[in-house]
Amino acid sequence: MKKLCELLERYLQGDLNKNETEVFENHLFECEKCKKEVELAKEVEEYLNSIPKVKVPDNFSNIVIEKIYNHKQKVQSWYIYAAVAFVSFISALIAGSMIGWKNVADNVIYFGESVYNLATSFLTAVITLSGTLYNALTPGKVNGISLIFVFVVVLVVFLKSVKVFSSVER
Amino acid sequence: MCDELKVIEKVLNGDVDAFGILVKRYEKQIVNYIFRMIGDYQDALELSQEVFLKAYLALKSYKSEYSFSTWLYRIAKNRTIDFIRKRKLSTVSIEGQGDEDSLKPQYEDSGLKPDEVFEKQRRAKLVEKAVSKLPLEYREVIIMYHVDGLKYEEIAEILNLPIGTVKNRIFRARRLLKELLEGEI
Repeated sequence: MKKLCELLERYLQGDLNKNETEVFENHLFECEKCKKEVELAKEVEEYLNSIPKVKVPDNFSNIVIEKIYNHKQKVQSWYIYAAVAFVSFISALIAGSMIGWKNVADNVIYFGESVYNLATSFLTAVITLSGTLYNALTPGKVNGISLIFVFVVVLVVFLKSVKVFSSVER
Repeated sequence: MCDELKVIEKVLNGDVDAFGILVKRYEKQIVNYIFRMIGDYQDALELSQEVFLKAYLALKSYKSEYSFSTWLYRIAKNRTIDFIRKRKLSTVSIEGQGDEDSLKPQYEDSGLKPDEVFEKQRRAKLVEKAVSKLPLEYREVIIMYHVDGLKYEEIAEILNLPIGTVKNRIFRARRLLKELLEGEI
């Protein structure tokens, strides 16, 4: 009797063969405990089956694959940053050991000054150009709209070109 | 199974698109499991996408002695529990009680007549509400066993629990669910 009760779980999982199923179903006429358990399981299963399954959007797998590509792209960018940082560090070490740390520091300061001078010249050129444009477009009047338009066109061209160069091919 | 291992091998050799085959195979089970656990369709879709992304990133650690679905369910289960803890949800928000902006779930077509559909919907809502009231440890086993059709051994592997504990939880969960539904249906 007790041995037959042990078949209950396998019966509920549908794991019994035809012969075992027949034996266990006969056992259910005699064992109230197993009978109640089978009835309860079937009832609960029926309850839960009444909840319909939700649909998965057709493009679900495409979205997942897209997310994977985006993730890979992000990781690749970090690898590039890490590689650039590593190469710069090693180059600095080699340069330092070859020409001495003081010379390196002098060169860095000199480079910084050059960048500063270049930026200043660039800014002066932009201001001069803006002034010329302003004078050419507005003889005696403020024509800010034209300047804003030129600025927006330049900005859009710049952003577009950045986007083109940063896109990753699959 | 063998075919699945070949697909996994392809993915591990760099074929990202081949992972789509695995997603297509398990998306329905995973989305439905998470939806039953958290009760919000939009969150369930987003969490499921995260689960698949995580599975892709961890695919190297997958060992073929376990079934891929068991491994995937384990990721889904851990992610869902994290989500529930973060949101501090002791009970799930069922449809109609949750966020107003939340996307309504799209159910599969049952092929029933309108009055049958109405009765089925009423019944389904009561069952959903009762399931949402079950403690988390009972809710997850009863969904895995009765809704997803997983075996005791698979649930034990996913939850990292002895089979005896899984059986015991399912046994108690059934009783509790019946008590909650008594007189309602």
